[in-house]
Amino acid sequence: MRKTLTTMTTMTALATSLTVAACSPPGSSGSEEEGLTQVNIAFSNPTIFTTGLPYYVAIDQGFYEDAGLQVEATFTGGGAETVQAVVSGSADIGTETSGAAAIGAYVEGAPIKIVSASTTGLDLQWFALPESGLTDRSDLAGRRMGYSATGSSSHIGVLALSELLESEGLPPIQAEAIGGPPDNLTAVQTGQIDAGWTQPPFFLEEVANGELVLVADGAEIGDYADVAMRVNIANISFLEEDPDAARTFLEVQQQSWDWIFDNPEEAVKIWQESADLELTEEVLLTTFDYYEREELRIAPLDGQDVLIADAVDFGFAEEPLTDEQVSELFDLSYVPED
Amino acid sequence: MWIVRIVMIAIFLALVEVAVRTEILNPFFVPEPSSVLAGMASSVTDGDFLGMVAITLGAVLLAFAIAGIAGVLLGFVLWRVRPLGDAYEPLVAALFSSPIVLLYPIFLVIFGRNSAAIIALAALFAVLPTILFTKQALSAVNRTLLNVGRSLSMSSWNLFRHIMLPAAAPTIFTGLRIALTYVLIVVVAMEYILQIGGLGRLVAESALLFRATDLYVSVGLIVVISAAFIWLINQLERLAQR
Repeated sequence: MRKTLTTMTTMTALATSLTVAACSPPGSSGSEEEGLTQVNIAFSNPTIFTTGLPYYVAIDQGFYEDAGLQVEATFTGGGAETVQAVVSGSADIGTETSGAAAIGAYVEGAPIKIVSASTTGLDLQWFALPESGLTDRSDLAGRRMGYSATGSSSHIGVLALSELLESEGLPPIQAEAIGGPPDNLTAVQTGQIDAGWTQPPFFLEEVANGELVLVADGAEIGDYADVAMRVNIANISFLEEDPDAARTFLEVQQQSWDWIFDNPEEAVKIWQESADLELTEEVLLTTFDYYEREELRIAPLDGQDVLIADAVDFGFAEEPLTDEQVSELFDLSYVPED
Repeated sequence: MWIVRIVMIAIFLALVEVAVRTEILNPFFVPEPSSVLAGMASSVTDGDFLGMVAITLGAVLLAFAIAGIAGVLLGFVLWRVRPLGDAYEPLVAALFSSPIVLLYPIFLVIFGRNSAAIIALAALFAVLPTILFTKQALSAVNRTLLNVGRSLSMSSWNLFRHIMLPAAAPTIFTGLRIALTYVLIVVVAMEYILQIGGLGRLVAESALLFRATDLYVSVGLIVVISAAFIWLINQLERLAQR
């Protein structure tokens, strides 16, 4: 019997290990089709407009194939997890990741470069339950608020909001890594946190129905309107081995965004189908009320000084980058010329 | 024996040190062992760090205490009340082999996003081997020993204290050692995944901030704590067998 118990113990330990491993982001895999250059990318929250849509559109419209690329995507928890995927080499390029996380990784010796802007401005909103009594950002002082993952733009947003509240003499926010908007909704509804983050158009219907209230908006926090809060990064080995693939990928990324803004109705259909969204096309179309084409351009990359200052302020880097480090990290030479 | 162990570990660490310094191993992923050991030494006087160690230690001790006490009692009941044992032992065995850790979202809803959820999940996971091993330990006590005790007119308590407990202790403590291992794994893994609590959170933050030395310092301390607990439980086993 003791032998049986020992066997069961071993099996249980194995199951535990597998479970913990299953909680880690999956690695990408894929075979290279003839004539196509394989590029592995990583990004978070694939249902979101700024992360998943350009990828889905590029696949649907055949932009990758036309450009000679075969792109395989790995989905991460966001922020530093996207950077980790690129650092480890499981992804060549990380899209739509926070500049602060990339800067933090770089100063610790990570072999990465920031190769373009991704989203300029802070497009986040924070919601709560109506019965919470939270109505504006000052009510969030001392409250538990969710973000996606350490180093993500939602993390930077919460830290910046907390800093703002502290500057007004209010208690800081208790920030907790919860995950994407659906995880935040669950956490808010079950009382694990007081307010969660989202990006338009998610939960706007619930807000309109009175099921949720919007408590704060990214536009209220600091002056991030002209800062590339999310950037695209790449592994240095990949850039050295295949710089043309990096250039081509960025070109397709810009091409996808141009197509999305030129064809919003078709884009939301692709979005709805590819991301398996339950939101109606009408609701998805309202996303275009929140984003300007210019905010999703891959160049220029504005607000480098703010990104570096935030990385230091929020503990991702111990000291500001030197000029040499800045020019090494921010390498926009892969952005295609107009 | 101890000297051999220490020398072997020292040789391994020296080889890693050389490999990192000569960049055979990438220092971004593996820091120099000397810097990790220095970090571990300085962390002992770092108030914030000790606070995190205290949180993890507290969670481990509480979860283990709950699992140990509840597990031994329930194992005793399953042994004593045979119909209950026949009915529930297969169920406990089945649960023991299942990834109960996946229930953590439910625990977060019930207990909130705090250490209570982690302690409850760890205790639930660890109580199962304790129940099984206790029940089996008591069932396996040699009947001849009990008959000898009864022929000497020993009271029930004395039979339990002087015959059953020493005979069953090795197997019960095997269950407790496994329970302790599970508690440590679940507490640290959940702190890591949820990024709440102590050392697990520190490991997660160090990894996400790419601070390899801090990461290895935390992991090293978790190993030290684990070894200390196993040593402690071995001492308890010796006491129980006296």
